[in-house]
Amino acid sequence: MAKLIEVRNLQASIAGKQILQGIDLILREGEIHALMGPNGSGKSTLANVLMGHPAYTVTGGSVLLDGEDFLALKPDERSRLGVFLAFQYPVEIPGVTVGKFLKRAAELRQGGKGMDVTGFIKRLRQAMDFMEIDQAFINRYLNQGFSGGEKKRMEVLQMLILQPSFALMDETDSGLDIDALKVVARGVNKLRGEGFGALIITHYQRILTHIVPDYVHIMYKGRIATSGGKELVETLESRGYDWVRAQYGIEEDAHEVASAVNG
Amino acid sequence: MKSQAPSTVDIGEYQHGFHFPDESVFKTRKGLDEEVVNAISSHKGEPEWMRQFRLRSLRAFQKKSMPNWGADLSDINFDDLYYYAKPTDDQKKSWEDVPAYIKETFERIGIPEAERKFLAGVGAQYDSEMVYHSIKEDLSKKGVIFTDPESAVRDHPDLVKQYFGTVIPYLDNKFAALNSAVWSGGSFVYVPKGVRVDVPLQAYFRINAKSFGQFERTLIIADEGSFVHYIEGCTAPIYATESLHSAVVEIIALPGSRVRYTTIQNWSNDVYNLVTKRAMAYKDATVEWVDGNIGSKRTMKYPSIYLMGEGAHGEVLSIAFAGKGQEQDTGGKAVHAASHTSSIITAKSISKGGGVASYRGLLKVNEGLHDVRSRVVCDALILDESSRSNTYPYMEINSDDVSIEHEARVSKISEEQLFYLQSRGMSEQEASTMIVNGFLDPLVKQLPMEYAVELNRLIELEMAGTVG
Amino acid sequence: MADRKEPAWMQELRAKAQERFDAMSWPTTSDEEWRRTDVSGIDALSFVPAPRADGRTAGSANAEGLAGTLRFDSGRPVEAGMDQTWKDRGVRLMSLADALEEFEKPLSDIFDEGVDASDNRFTVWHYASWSHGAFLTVPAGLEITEPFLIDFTESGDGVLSSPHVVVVLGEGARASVIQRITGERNGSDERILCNAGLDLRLSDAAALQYFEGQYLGPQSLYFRQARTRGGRDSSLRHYDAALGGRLVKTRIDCGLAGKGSEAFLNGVYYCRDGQHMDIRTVQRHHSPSATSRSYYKGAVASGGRTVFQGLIEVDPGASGTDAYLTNRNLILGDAARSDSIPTLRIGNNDVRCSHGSTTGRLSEEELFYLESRGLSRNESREMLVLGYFEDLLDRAPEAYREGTLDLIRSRLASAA
Repeated sequence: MAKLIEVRNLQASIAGKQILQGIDLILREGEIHALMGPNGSGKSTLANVLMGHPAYTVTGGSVLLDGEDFLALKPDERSRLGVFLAFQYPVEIPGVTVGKFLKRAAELRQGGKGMDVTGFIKRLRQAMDFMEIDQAFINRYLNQGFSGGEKKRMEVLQMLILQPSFALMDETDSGLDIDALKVVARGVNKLRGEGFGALIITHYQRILTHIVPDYVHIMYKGRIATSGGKELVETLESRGYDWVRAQYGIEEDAHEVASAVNG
Repeated sequence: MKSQAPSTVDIGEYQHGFHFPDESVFKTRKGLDEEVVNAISSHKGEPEWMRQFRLRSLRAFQKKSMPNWGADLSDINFDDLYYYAKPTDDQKKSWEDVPAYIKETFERIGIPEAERKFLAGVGAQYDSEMVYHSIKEDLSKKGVIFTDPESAVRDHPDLVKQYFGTVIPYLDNKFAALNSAVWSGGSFVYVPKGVRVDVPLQAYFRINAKSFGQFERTLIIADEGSFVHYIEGCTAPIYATESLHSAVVEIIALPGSRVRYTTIQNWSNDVYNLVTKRAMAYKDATVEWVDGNIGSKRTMKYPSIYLMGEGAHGEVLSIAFAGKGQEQDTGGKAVHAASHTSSIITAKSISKGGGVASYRGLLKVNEGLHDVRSRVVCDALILDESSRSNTYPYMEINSDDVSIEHEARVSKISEEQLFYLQSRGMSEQEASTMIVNGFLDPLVKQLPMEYAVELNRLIELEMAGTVG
Repeated sequence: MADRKEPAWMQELRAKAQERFDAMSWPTTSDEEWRRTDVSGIDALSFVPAPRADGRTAGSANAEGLAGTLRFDSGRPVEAGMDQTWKDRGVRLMSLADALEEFEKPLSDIFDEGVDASDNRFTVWHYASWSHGAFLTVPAGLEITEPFLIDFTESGDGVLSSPHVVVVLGEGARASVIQRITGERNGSDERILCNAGLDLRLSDAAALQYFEGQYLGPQSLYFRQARTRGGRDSSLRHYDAALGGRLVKTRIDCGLAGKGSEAFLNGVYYCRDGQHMDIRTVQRHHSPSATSRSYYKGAVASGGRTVFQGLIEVDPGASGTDAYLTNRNLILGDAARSDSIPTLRIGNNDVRCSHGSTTGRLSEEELFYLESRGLSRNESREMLVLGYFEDLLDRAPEAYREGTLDLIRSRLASAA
């Protein structure tokens, strides 16, 4: 049976400011969901709260993974259950090489001990080629000095190695040129299948032409304003965020209009 | 010598907290006076000039006051220590001749394995004497001398008289005076002109008798154009009463030579580790100190390099880990006494569980020099609320054609880094350990692989809180 | 030594300080903070105080563009004036002697603290024998853009001058002060021993900019102890220009005592042949989430000696501390000496603390570049040295900035 994440009326705040006002969402393995919305709508917050970022406080609602309380778990416990967060701004970890880090993460994914190292190295090299990352990066310190595109491709490389059940992708497409975008999409599409579910958070629609979603949600001011199928992407593309606001009777703020228009 | 990223699989057992019933053969009584010093000298069968040197040093020790800075040494009771113990009658030449219980000790800390692994020679100290010492044939043929200082006094008196006590005179400080009076064991290394010793020379030390002091004395002379890497790794069992380790290391790097001296110190946490280490680097010579301090109750150690000739270069790489009840007061000194010299001091420290890590360093440039460059970088990680970090760098610059940089940073493990690693399945503790190892990696990379692995293991144990 | 007109509390304070003075001896080079400054050759007690100021203020005048003025000549107040608007709203800039009674409450606490915290004979001496000074108080909520000017002109060979300035800002008050000490009126051989004190107290949300300049003659001696404290969300920007004196030993001890407080300490020092300058800044973080910066730039010419000692100290409770200390030293000739000792004592781990120090000389490439554009060697040096100091001074009031740079310019010219 496909694994299931149920988010019910989730509310969360950071530094006293309420961001998520009540999110309802169901993610299933095998399904690709897109989450869109203007800047400041809380998309990134949702991803971080699902992963358990310590700076955020859950103020209401619940999240269940296959019926079990997910919010009670620590981030590493959530990870070991197969949930992955591709960060918007991956942090540098000086002194820790990509190779050492990935090997350990892969080991933890399969129980923590006794991984076949040779097999792992082979898989790693193949995945790096697939993601067009130079093999030399194995000995580079994790994310240190990486360009934006390299960091994002590294996040997707980790997904290929760790084979998560659910990937929360926080604006993985932002700052990428068209070529890098295609490589990222290629990685995600390779994972697509029965045992993989994703929540692709994006501000633009570009990536969604390469990774076609099964469901689309539009988020606004901490809530999901509307959901639909992939045709919602086309609607948004042709009519813009203004239309969403009008359609759903949401008041606009001047700066939100500007940022939505300017992308 | 490059080292790969260590493959950490198990944390495993790493306990050096064991000791054997004391089978020492000869031990002076507790406390220190002329009688004790004379007994030491007689027992070693030393020539008169060395006995007089010891007595002069003793008088200096008695007169000098304790340092009024640095770690807290108020608990040391000089009268309550044994200053000398000798376990067997004479120096053994081969592994087979070593007494069984001593062999077992070495077996447990892995020396036979090391002996198999391309090491040039091993001097193992058991209660302050060189019990076992062998030198590989090709080194002997090249004229490299690697022996204990007692043998050097007997067999190479000219070399000893020429260099012994010239880098660290007995009047230098109270603990140098103490060591000069009661020194026993250590290493004497002489590398002839142009000879490269490709494989590191190593020595192990152990404190075994209760309340015992360790006063080894090491003298390394690298003649013109030579190269040697000397490694010293320490470990000690756990005792209730204080132990004092007050060593002196002198290095003379003659023109064009290069000496690297690596130490990983993991004394148990009742040991006072007060060491004076100094090198003279002459024209175009290079000296590198790699200093890792993980154990002991109190360490005060500032490897120094005096750049005496043009083209000389000095480096100090220092790692300090201060856990519960520990004070690591470490750093480095570079004194530029010649033009066209350079120095780099890199110090990284970690404090945890109430430990205190302090960096103390001196960078001095004498007058009238040209083209002097130096860079000092200190990075400190404080892992929790109860721990402390201090930085006391001194820069005394008396010439104008210089380029001097100093930077220091203090911080904790970043929440973002922890979260990132946790989101990849690592527990908070494992993530912290990985970040701490990463913090140290640029320095750990400079160690031979076995030491890098040993150091990483020690860090993991410290992080898990199972050590000391 | 106490003035019969001083209130009892001050008389007692002087007596307490005198007692401590008698029990101490002058600092020696065995004392850590005095290790590089040898005062044993100074016969401090041979300096004689100027005749006591009578406390009455002469001449009321206030220059354009200033919120208030207070000028002293050899310890006597000679000019005092203030914009009437501020006066009406409770701002006071007055001779310290006149403020002792009316402002007993803040002043007695400040002086008591000062005596108790004194750790060397010079500072204790100051409290026992301070001779004149200024007191500025700005009530809560007042925001004053024009600066106040406090001017001390010292003169008289063999004179001991011990001025003290106290500035107290009420909650949310904002003000700025330019304070100068000059002493080259009667020629460069005049020896004055100036033993000064400064206290700055900022209440919650107050903001103070304080620009200090020391321009004594080349044979004078200058000791200065400054203590500052800022409450919650307060902001202090302090500038210090040290140019005069044969021997200079100063310390500014800055306490961040409220959450979110900030202190930016900036300093320039120019030390030429025969001068010895020993400057210390201390950033003490007592409360969480405070920010401090110490940024001191010095230049030392041949025959000069500078010592910079900086300390960042963070108490265990001060999480979220953001503190930085930078010291730069430019060496302008051989036989110049520069010592830099930036230190950290950190007792909390949730902090960002760093320090940096660099020492070097003017870049040959830059000099050559300017020369290749027609500037003489001396002009090039001048341009680079002034440029070196300018970035630190560029947010300071013009008068202060230009005055300081002009002096540096003239010193460069005479050294060439």
